Amino acid sequence: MKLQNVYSWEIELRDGSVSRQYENGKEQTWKKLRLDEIVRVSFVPVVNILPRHDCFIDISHGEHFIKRFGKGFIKQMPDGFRLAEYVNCCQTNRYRFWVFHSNGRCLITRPDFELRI
Amino acid sequence: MAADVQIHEMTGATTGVDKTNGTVRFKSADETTVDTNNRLQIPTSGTNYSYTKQLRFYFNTPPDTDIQDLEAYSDGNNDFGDGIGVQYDTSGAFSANVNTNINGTDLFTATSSSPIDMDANNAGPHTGTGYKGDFLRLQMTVASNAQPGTLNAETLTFAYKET
Repeated sequence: MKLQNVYSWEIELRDGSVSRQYENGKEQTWKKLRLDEIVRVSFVPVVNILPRHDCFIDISHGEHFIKRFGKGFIKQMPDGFRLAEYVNCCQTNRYRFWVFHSNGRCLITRPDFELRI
Repeated sequence: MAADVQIHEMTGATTGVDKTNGTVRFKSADETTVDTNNRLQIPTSGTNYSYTKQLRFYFNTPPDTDIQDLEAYSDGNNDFGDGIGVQYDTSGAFSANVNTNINGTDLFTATSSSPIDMDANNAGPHTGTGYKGDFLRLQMTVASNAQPGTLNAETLTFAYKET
């Protein structure tokens, strides 16, 4: 499996409905969802040895979802160019929650922080 | 699925060599082969310049929605040794490779805190497959105080943001 596909996203709305990145045999987009009603963003590992991560968004206290994105880092190493790391990120108005695909660890930063490794 | 993104060494506006699991070698010849032929010579005075290398993003499979914020940066440390440097510039178009001074910027000043904008000219968001963003043109410089020998590879990072 390619590194960029190790995790997929799952998003829950206030009404309890859940959308997944891969449904009905094709890839979905979160951009059609009501962003102000998102209460949970999860990163679900395809490989079960990696941890699942859940971001619970407390919309009742002014927190709200901004966007979800992936970020790839291609490095020229001594053995050549390769995708050295890929991260998934959930951004709210209060933080960015990053999940590293290579080992499943996570990082929480300010919402304006740009991860570069 | 997330996009499959590659880095290609360009030989023309829309032709290049996939460098996945391959390196880029500065040479005194205009070709993409990685071997020890056409080595750079240490001058008795002044500076010698390698033929330029031009790198560009290539989307082998498309993103679900789009890709933007294409960037490149070094680790900020020139470990090639005294008298050896790498300079760069960017362009929205391919230009013939040259072995004359391009008067570029020191590559090692482009770091994670001040990366090279790789889609300033060919701006995103980028969709579909094929070549995307700008050309990163690199050139090695060798001055008379350089030491002979084979150099170890330096780390160059390309980053992109995908939705």
